[in-house]
Amino acid sequence: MDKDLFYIYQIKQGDITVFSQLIDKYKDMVFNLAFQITKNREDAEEVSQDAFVKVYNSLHNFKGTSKFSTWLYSIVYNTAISKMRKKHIDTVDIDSKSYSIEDNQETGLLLKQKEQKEYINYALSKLNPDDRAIVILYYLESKNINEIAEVTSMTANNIKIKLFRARKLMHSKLKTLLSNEISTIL
Amino acid sequence: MDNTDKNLNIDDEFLKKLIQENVSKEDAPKDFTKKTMDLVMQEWIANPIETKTKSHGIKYWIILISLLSVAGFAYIATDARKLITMSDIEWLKSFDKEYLIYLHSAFNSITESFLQISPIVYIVLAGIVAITITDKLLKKSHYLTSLFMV
Repeated sequence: MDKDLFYIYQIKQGDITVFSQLIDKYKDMVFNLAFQITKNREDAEEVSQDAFVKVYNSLHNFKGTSKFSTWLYSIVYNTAISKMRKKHIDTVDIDSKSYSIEDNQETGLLLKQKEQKEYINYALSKLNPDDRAIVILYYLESKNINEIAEVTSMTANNIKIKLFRARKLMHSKLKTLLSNEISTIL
Repeated sequence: MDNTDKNLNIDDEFLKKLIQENVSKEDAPKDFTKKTMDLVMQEWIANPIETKTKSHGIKYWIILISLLSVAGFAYIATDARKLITMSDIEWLKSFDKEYLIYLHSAFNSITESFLQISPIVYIVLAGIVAITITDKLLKKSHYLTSLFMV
């Protein structure tokens, strides 16, 4: 609480230049979420700009009942998801498959010896954009379940289920990648 | 906590660590603010946010006119009448005898009827007004505090 409310108050009073303070403050956060969903810098830039313009146009609807950042995240999320829905990308819907729980300690040890970054990003890219956004918000941005539910307009239970399935899918993808590597070496 | 829950927690922490260590956060381009502000300014020109000035409702004007009327009548029936009776202007004196004297007696009877009301009524009314004003002031100060709190 809350410089954001002060900025919004000033913008509503007609001082549009203050909007640049909000952009400066949140641009990296917005861009990163957009990038993690779209996996493309150009798309992420377009989504981020659209999101800020939408924020400006809907500023009169913001009553301050939730955090500005959560409200902003929900706009970015929806803008990015609708952009991605227009594109057809090869992803896996985590709701459509079931995965078994494997020993993750073993995978972890192997991963340390491999190109972790590449594999993790590959596994993430195989999630569909909605699920990837939830995973990123939860694991990278450290948002809690209720905040993610607010951002995505899903129920908290739905988020928990999606996170559970995403974990299983990523684990399975990582395991497959490592098995291929090992068989190539052998 | 059963074994399944334990496994899930390990899984969760494991994945969190992997993601935080390996997924790099992407920063916006350097000219992002400028480009975005250009777009916002275009929107602003097309559709500016207008400050809605709070217009006084009809209730406000009715109360204001009523209070001014009462004050006007009180002045005419008391102080103004005294000045008129002291003056030498004939038409004013006749105006006083024909109209103001009735207004004066009416005002006096109203004042007397107010004086007959028990003081407790005035005390309660004053209390209600004080509470209403205090409540409004507190709400306003709370709003301003939330705006300026850093």
